[in-house]
Amino acid sequence: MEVRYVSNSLEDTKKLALMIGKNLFRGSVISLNGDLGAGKTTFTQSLALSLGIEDKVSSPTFNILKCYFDGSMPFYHIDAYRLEDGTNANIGLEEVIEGDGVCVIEWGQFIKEMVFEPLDIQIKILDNNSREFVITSNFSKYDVIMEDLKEICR
Amino acid sequence: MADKIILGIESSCDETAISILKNDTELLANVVSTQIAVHKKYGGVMPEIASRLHVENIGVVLKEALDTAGITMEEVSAIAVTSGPGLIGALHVGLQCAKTLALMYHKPLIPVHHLSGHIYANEYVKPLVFPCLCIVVSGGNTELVVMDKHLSFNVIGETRDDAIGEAFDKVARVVGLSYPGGVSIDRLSKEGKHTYNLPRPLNDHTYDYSYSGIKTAVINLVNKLKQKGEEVNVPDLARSFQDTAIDLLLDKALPAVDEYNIKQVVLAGGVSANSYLREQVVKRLENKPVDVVIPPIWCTTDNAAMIAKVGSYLYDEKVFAPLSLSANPCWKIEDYRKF
Amino acid sequence: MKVLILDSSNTDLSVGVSIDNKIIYKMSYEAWQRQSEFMIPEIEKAVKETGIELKDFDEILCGKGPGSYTGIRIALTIAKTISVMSGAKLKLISSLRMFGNREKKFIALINARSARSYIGVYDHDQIILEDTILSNEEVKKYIFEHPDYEVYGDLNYLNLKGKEPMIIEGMLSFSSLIKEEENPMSSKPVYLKD
Repeated sequence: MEVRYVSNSLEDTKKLALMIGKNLFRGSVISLNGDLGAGKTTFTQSLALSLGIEDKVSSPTFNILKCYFDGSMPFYHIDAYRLEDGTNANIGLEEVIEGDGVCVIEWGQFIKEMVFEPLDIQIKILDNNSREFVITSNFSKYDVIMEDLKEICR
Repeated sequence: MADKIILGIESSCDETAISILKNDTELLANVVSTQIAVHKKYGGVMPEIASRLHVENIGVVLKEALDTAGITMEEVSAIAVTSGPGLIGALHVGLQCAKTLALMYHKPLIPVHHLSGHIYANEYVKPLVFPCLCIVVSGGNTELVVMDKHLSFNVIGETRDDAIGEAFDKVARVVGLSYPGGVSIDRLSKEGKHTYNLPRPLNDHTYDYSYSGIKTAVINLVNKLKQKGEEVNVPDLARSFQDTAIDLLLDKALPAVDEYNIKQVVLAGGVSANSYLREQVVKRLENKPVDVVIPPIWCTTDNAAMIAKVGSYLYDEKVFAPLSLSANPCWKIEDYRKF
Repeated sequence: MKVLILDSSNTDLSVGVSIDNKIIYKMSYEAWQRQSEFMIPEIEKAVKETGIELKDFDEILCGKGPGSYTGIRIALTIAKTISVMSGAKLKLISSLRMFGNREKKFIALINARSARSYIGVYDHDQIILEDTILSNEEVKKYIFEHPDYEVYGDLNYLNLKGKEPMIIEGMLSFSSLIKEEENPMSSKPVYLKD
């Protein structure tokens, strides 16, 4: 199942994030992909907010993994940017990805083999402020999310 | 009176380091096992490799530190260890070594916040003077911290997205420079001119930062030029980016000097090795009655001497942790007494 | 000979003490993602109860993997630190082999995630299948084809029932077959997913 959503502003992006966020459950995995500057971290910040996380969610590029426990469930924010060439693909992140909370993986495509049953979100840059979000699900556990999204997407 | 000897352990990122500090000022040993050569080919810090190497290195580093210091564990007063923030797998290794030593030799265990270590590294140059403004800048952190006395940290501003060091690393990668990005950009910028105009985001009344905008601007610029078939002048881009990033850092930080009646400004963290930052912070404060402390280069990279230094202060205040102490990869500096 | 037995390579945390091959203390419980907190306090309890100081152990027996990246590292770092400081011998045992003992024919399994398992197969003192990773399908097939082997491990993820391992007894059982580490300072875990 696939839906598309065009965002022309930060507000639009927040609306999408909220729509997805309210239906997330323990064991949700989101693989978030798009070029540098597409807004992956910005989207993740809005998603975290929808889970009640008030801590500043900043880029985990350097730390690879940042964890937030002040929301409705554990929130794991992974950035696989530095794991691109795959020679170091096995780094024990599976324990967090197949874990007890929500896991968002920026550049998830770089560690595809360990991203277990994800909801795929691709962000395309249309122009300065506009982005197209392509959300794809191949697993029935995300059906509720996808059904809800149909209301705001095309 | 017996000597106060603090054994400090640091393994929050890519260094395995152990230091032994006597009576607050005398460094009996300062051993750092650098893994940079291994990480170079991965373009940054690989957390799992960092952890694996920590397990391999820790025994060697420990032995060497004790041999160099010429002391026995019985003479050690306490074990200070970085228990956060940092890469979780890496933190665990230093932490378990510290806890084992604490149990084995019945010594107090002192948890140290990694960034407080970077701030106190400056005390190897001269004592901190309060109120003190700490500009904490590294690969994973960009924070402005005001201290009105020892071990009192008030974060007045921080990055909302990318850390400044991370921006250096990403920009360097985009133009094909080697890791660590900050070193490459610093070096090349000396050969370049500030010819590219980059934006200055978050021009507001807060002390917060946003570096993702500059990063994106560089990427867009490079892509546009590529599309036009033009070459990027890498030294000029390095210079333009570095000038913008550092100017932005100081433009926002320096007004705090007046607002908080600051007597001393210190730099802390890996990016404080940047030559333009070191030059500009002195220059821009030369007409103010403020002391400026630039840490020596060996202090800017991760080391255990800075951990032992904080440990020394915490020892006096008996800030000891139980043996159930765990790593906290997201530990905030204001919470340094919460563990 | 006083031996300290440690393992945190998977979901459990295990601490045992043996004197001349007889277990005089053991503690083993599920502590997933809490081993970093509890391992040392549990060792402290063992020291208090047995009256044997950490520096007085002659040998440390420790799980070397495969299993949880973080977990393996916790016990191994502790074991290495003790060994480096006191000179105690260090012996590393496969985290699969420790599920059984020298009197058995057994298959040991650990969830390696992404629909795979870590597997090791042993027949008394012999290693039938060296520790490796197989897909869960291959593992089920192997079990089916070897009905005379007992299967140890938490097999909920395979929808099967496995026998519960006695880790401390298992480690002690195999320890005489294991050579001590020549250079404990550089001892490394076994990750298998390399």
